[in-house]
Amino acid sequence: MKKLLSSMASAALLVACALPAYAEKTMEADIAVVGGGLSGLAAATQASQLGAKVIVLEKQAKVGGTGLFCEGVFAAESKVQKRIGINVTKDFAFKLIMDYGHWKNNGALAKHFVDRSAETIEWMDAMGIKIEYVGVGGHGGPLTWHVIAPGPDYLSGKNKHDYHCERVINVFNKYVTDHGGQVLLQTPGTDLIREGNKVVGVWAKDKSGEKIRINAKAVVMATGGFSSNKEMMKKYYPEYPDITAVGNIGKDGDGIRMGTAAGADLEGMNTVEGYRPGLPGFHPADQMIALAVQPYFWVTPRGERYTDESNIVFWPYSNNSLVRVGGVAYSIYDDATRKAAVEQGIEMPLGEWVLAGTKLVKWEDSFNKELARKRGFVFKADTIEELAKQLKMKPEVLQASVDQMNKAAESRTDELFGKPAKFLRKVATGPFYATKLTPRHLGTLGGMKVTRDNQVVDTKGEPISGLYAVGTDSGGMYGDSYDLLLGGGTAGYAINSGRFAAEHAIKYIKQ
Amino acid sequence: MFRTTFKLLFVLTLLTATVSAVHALTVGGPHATMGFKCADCHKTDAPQAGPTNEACLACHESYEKLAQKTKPKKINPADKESHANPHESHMGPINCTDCHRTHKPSELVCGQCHTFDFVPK
Ligand SMILES: Cc1cc2nc3c(=O)[nH]c(=O)nc-3n(C[C@H](O)[C@H](O)[C@H](O)COP(=O)(O)OP(=O)(O)OC[C@H]3O[C@@H](n4cnc5c(N)ncnc54)[C@H](O)[C@@H]3O)c2cc1C
Ligand code: HEC
Ligand code: HEC
Ligand code: HEC
Ligand code: HEC
Repeated sequence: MKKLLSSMASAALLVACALPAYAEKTMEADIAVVGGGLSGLAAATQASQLGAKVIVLEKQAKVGGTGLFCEGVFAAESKVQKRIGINVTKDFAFKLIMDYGHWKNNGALAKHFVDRSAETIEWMDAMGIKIEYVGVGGHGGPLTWHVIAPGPDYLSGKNKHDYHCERVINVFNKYVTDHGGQVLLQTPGTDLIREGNKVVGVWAKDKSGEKIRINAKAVVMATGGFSSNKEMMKKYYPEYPDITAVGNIGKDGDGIRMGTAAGADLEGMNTVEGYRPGLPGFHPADQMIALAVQPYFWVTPRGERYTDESNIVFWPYSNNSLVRVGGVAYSIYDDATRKAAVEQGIEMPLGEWVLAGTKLVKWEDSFNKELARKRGFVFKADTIEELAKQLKMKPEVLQASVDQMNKAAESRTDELFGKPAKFLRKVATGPFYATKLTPRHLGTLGGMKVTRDNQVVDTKGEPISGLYAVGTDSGGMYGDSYDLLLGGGTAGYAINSGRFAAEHAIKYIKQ
Repeated sequence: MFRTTFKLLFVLTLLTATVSAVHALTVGGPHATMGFKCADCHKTDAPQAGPTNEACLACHESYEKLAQKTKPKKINPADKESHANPHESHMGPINCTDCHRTHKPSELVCGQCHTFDFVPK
């Protein structure tokens, strides 16, 4: 036996020598995490805490991924909610999630997420991640969005980004590296390594192109979905594949590709995190966009209203209505509306980006600069007829829509879509302004099918040993639309699912 | 000082430049007229991929120094985007070649999501 082994070893050596001199490095870990974003770093932190040796692979030059942009995370029955007297029970939250998804979602996973959410807030608190306040997903909704407070580096002025989810990223990243973990930047994972039916590691490529073999007892896929992958977007979001992705680049669907090659089943692939409409090339807090998405008068390229504009409160709805009319609309407002927004402030907040009541003093600069660029994004005219011509609409169609809007504003009833009266405004005082609106999203939501502990399953529902998918690499949390009824769901799920995978993987390794 | 060192370097490079085999790729961009050999940027005579940041920074010092030079002239406190600096951003120390190109036109990687006035050479 020994002899056989040693002759096998020398055979392997021979093969190794016969191969061309590809530089190839080997590293060892208990758990390899592919993707150093919110869910991946949560998994790495939890695994390190439980004593595992962790290697995190990150494609970009910096950790954080989409987790650099979010602000708050979901929890139900957290200490802070109880203290303020916010009554959002776990049962209520679970039922709301499942009903919103028409029970197309993975109930076991959603329940696990809701049930552990409050404890996860405590877990973060113990590491110095504090909650600033608890807010909503959409205005007036249940209070579940636990907005992350500024950290010490923000307060001392050392790092103006040590705030919101980036605070979470900073703490997790430091925890992992302080506890013997390694975070490799600009080193994407490329392929899983399998032995029989088990996943036993992952190949990576460092920035000089050198291949690294990472032997690991379990691999956690956390590459953040596929919003940057044009082919996949065409396949899974055919309604509007060119939808603008707000956030970060390089989410190329690598995790889903690698998982599928290892037999993973997929679910929920057609659901994206539909966001407020806007324009490519503009910051989410841009004031020209902030005025354009006030819920007043939006028309299709034919010049007809197509929705209750105020459904932007729950922006997935706003995205759905825009996508169904082809993905292009124009928000038109008159000078009286412009003046009110600039001098008195806006009615509809844009989350944390632009608060209600903000006076849009930068509107003029932003609008006029864009007008001068002549990209067909913004328009200005003294009459509705002239504006219609610029927008290539039939003037009589647009005029009829304007007349109907003005009538609705006077009678305080919107016969077409039943929009609340307070958002019924006239389009009457020239000059008139138009801003093009196109669909935007914050990321894809479908991915590998998982158990309640985020083990990846194959098409027969059998868990694939050693493989986990977390955050937006895993599907199952959503039905056909992004759920904003409970604020903080995606970031909250990213963190919680990372923890579940780590906990389960540790048990699996010890078996 | 910086520029004179570069001029020296430039002359040295010209002197040591040998007439090598014809390459399919030509050197464009800001270095077009400097007589650089492939290896000046690629550290190899038979490149497979774009140069590393280390290779560019061998002549251009550091990201920090570059960020000093491209700091925005005026910052409007009300406008978060007026802080924008191509060499210091939320994207981290990304590859120089994400923006600065040699064999094809340069392109600002930030342009996918922002509309900034600066353009890379
Ligand atoms: C502007 C904005 C605001 C948001 N606000 C909120 C909010 O307030 N509340 C909320 O619940 N959600 C919010 N979200 C959504 C939330 O940020 C995401 O759902 C969450 O970050 C997803 O985590 P993730 O780990 O799945 O992906 P990410 O955080 O994107 O992490 C994926 C990581 O994997 C890396 N990667 C990709 N491919 C590879 C590879 N082959 N090898 C190695 N690494 C790779 C990526 O570079 C990235 O770092 C917001 C999103 C945006 C864009
Ligand atoms: C062998 C030295 C050398 C290397 C390597 C090198 N450069 Fe340069 N680069 C120069 C010199 C010399 C100049 C001209 C400097 C000047 O005018 O100040 C220059 C100019 C530039 C400029 C224009 C600067 C200006 O002020 O207009 C840019 C941009 C630039 N380099 C980027 C790069 C990038 C990106 C790389 C890597 C792909 C790179 N350089 C590699 C020497 C080098
Ligand atoms: C995000 C895109 C981007 C990246 C990445 C980038 N640059 Fe630049 N760089 C620019 C832009 C834009 C300018 C011009 C700035 C201006 O006009 O103020 C510039 C200017 C320069 C200059 C001239 C600076 C001066 O004013 O003297 C040099 C040299 C340079 N870059 C080198 C580099 C090197 C080396 C790297 C990698 C370490 C790099 N850049 C990475 C966009 C980039
Ligand atoms: C001034 C620095 C510089 C010099 C000199 C230079 N390159 Fe490049 N090279 C680059 C940069 C920057 C890129 C990244 C992509 C681009 O610019 O097109 C690149 C990319 C490449 C690539 C990869 C192309 C791809 O599709 O990714 C090859 C191959 C290459 N260079 C070959 C050469 C050869 C051959 C020479 C000599 C004739 C040469 N380079 C000289 C800067 C340089
Ligand atoms: C894939 C989209 C994307 C790309 C690419 C991108 N950004 Fe951003 N950027 C955003 C989003 C979304 C925000 C808003 C997040 C915030 O303000 O915290 C933002 C915010 C900013 C801000 C204001 C807040 C801050 O972080 O200081 C600056 C400045 C900025 N980006 C600069 C850049 C520069 C410079 C580049 C290129 C090197 C770049 N961005 C590339 C999406 C992007």
